[in-house]
Amino acid sequence: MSNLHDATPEASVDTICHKLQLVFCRNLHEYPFAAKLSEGGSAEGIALRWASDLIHQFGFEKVDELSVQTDLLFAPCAHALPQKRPIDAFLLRRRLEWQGRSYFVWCELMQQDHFRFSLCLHSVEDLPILQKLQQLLLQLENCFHFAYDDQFGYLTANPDLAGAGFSIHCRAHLPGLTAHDYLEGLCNFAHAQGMTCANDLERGLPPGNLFQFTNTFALTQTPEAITASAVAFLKCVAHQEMRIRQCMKYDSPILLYESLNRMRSFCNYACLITEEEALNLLSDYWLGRSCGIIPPAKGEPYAFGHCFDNVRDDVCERELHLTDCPTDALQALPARFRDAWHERAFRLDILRALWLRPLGQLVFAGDFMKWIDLK
Amino acid sequence: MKCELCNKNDAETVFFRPTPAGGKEELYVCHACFNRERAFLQPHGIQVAAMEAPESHTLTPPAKELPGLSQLSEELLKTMRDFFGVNSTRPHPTPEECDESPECPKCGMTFREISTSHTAGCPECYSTFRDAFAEMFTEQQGKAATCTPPPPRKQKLLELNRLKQAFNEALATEDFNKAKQLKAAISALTATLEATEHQLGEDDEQLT
Repeated sequence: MSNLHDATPEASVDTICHKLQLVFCRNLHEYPFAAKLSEGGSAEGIALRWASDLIHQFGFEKVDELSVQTDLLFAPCAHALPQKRPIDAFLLRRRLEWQGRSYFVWCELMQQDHFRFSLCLHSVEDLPILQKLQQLLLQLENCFHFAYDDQFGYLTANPDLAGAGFSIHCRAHLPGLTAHDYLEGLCNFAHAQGMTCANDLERGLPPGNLFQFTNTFALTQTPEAITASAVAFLKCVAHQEMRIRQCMKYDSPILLYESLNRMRSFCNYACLITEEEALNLLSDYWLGRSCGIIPPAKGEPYAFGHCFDNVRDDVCERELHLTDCPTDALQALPARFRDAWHERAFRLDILRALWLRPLGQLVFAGDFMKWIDLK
Repeated sequence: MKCELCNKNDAETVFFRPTPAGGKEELYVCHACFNRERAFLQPHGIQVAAMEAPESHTLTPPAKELPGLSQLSEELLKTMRDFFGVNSTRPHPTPEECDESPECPKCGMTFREISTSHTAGCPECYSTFRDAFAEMFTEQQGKAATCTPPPPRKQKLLELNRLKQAFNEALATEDFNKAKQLKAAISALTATLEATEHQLGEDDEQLT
């Protein structure tokens, strides 16, 4: 991208947005919400029955069994982890084709809500797929009697989502706004536009300058209106971010190159590094790539080959230890899973997995990585 | 002269942008850029939300207080809240209403528990604490909790449920004439829904 400022609003949004997710929460009328259902001990078999209906009548396939206590990144090994509160919870998915592209509608059963349907978008231009998702939900209404109130709309466990029962999540990478201390203004702007910034500066800067924006309320609004409002907000933020990146590129290129050199050195030679440091380094890398300083990798947009001096060397295969890598979860795993992890514990993979982890949709970070590879 | 920010439109106004050093930078900009820049600089509700003390830190009146002091302090607090606009973000429940409707008959949750944990227990909670929820939504979102009309298909499904319920009631009371009429209405509505479903199915097949 030669001139960041000249990019179209949609392209700018795609540049800053690493993940755009549409979520519908639905509950069945005659049952308490998931938390109460599990407290009462009457949840046994219910989720299994619903999962069976989804699989046999609507073409869903079972991906995994979930547990509330599970570290979601390691859901494929969830059965090996201790579970304090056993509850039937499932992850299902169904393929949805739209305009020649394949998407997955994910359904989490028995999490906070009975059903949580979500869909990750490739680009902001794919938002019209929302209609297809709504059509699928309407088909489901034939089988399931979703909780609906004439005054409040769809009823959800979180009262903020009552109404449309819909939320849009966006994870945005905003190093420019962070560097120029625009964050308070950003949060204020998000609040004014009906969005919530998940970090909200309560715990300092988010690692990797990754911010998550979500619509605050869903009452008296349609999903289309919520989506349009969120996209308008993102376009505005993307415009500011692109403008600042342009300034950084041309006004202070030395600082930018310096941070990139620092990133490269750390990625090459560090043996012990915290997750936060690694995410911040990768944020610098991503900034350099969006500014055109680092050429994009062909085929694999999330490959970090350019972090290293020469990928053909064994540099990328030197071990790198993240001090707060999910070691707790690893220790709880049986040996074969730990071995499986360490076999691939090369720095290139670790950095890539670390960067993708916040982008992955809960449990299927692994699937997300595969999807990225295919893309 | 072109706008100094977008370099596309003509400059129409002056914008003073704060600089990191604490000074102000004078920019000649178009209205679109002016509004966008100004939106980023305007303070909004976050400060108000940050000011709001947690429930445990709220001041409690002293044990021995002058008569009418509590009412006076409440009025003063209300005036201050109105003045600073804190009311719009107040997420607290209404204690009086909590006392009136202490528990949801289905899940046993009180409205105070719901507002504290920010999680409802069951769909019945919304009906039980309807007024409290409506007030909470109005205060939080600044608009009345009137639901947007559901999509046509959803309306038909709701209507179908109502008809089925009325049909069962008519059967229970042995009002067979009414039951016959209701059955006809149910059949007609079901046929309409099936036709729509068939259309949706065709769309889905085309997609896949």
